[in-house]
Amino acid sequence: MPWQKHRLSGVDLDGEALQRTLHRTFQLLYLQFAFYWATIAAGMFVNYYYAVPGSVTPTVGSIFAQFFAAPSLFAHVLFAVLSSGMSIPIIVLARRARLTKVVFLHIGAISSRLVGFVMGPLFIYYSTGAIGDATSASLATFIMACVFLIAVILTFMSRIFIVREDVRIKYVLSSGTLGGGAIGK
Amino acid sequence: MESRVKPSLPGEEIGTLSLPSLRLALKLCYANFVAYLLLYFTGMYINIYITSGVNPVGIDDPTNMIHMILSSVIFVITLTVGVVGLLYRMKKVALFSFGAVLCLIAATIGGLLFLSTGGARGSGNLTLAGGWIMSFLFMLALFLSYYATLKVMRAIRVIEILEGEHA
Repeated sequence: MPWQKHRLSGVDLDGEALQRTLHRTFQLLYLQFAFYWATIAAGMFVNYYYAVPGSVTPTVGSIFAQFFAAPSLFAHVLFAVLSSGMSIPIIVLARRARLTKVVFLHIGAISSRLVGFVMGPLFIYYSTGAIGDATSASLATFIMACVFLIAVILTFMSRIFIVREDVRIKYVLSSGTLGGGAIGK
Repeated sequence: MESRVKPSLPGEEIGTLSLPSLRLALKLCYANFVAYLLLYFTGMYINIYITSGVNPVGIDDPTNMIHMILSSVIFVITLTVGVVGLLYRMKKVALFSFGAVLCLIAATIGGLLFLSTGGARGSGNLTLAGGWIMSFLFMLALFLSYYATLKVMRAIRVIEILEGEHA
């Protein structure tokens, strides 16, 4: 039926294909939330147990090398990259399912995480012995924490729209088979 | 209070709560998120601006008081949502909410450990362990509460569509 089709960039998706796409998006979101949680768990480990060594100099090379120096810092950065990176396949799938709001929310999440990726190295920069600016280091950490939460909220909101679409497909697009083709989200 | 739609819809868990009551539960969940948000900001403020140096945070510190009140509000709301899920046959809502409640209890114990063993970054390993437990369990509670919220929201959408059809 024509009303069961979704058209985007020349790609037609019927109700079943759309459900499959949403199902994959749900799986990716589960993974992204797991990475978000791992990011904060590792981040708090850094927060409580890691101190910038006196040997670190305020240069790009020295700061970048720090990411590999401490296991907790490495884990934090790795999970931060992974959690942010998960938004890319979600954007691709959301475009396929024509979920514009989801696309924009994940672009927003990536953008806010990029601010965090600047603030993290800045924290190390201000904490080095040569600079030693505790106020700026605290501010950089606070901004990093805030943008992280913004990214989490934006991702949360995206899932709300995906659930709405999933229910719509299940009960409106396939109204002839009520309750059929459940993916049980 | 009973919903007109049966709770046994395949692949769905819509429970027996009426639509207006479900909407109220959803509003409660949203209010919970605002409290979580404020808890996060106060927690980060304490973490970065008070305890990051050698300064300890006391139980009577104003920011800490706000942090603990918010934590209690979240606990009450999450428990309420969990009980609603249990009573009105929304198993997953109950499961996620009670999971979040357990996380909040353990996180509170971590927070109290942080306060009672010195309340500063330099107070020793037990203080740091308390702080870390508090932080990561808070985030886990947030995720679990979020999933419970999604289940309530989904139930509302399903009932809205089905009742629209039956009307």
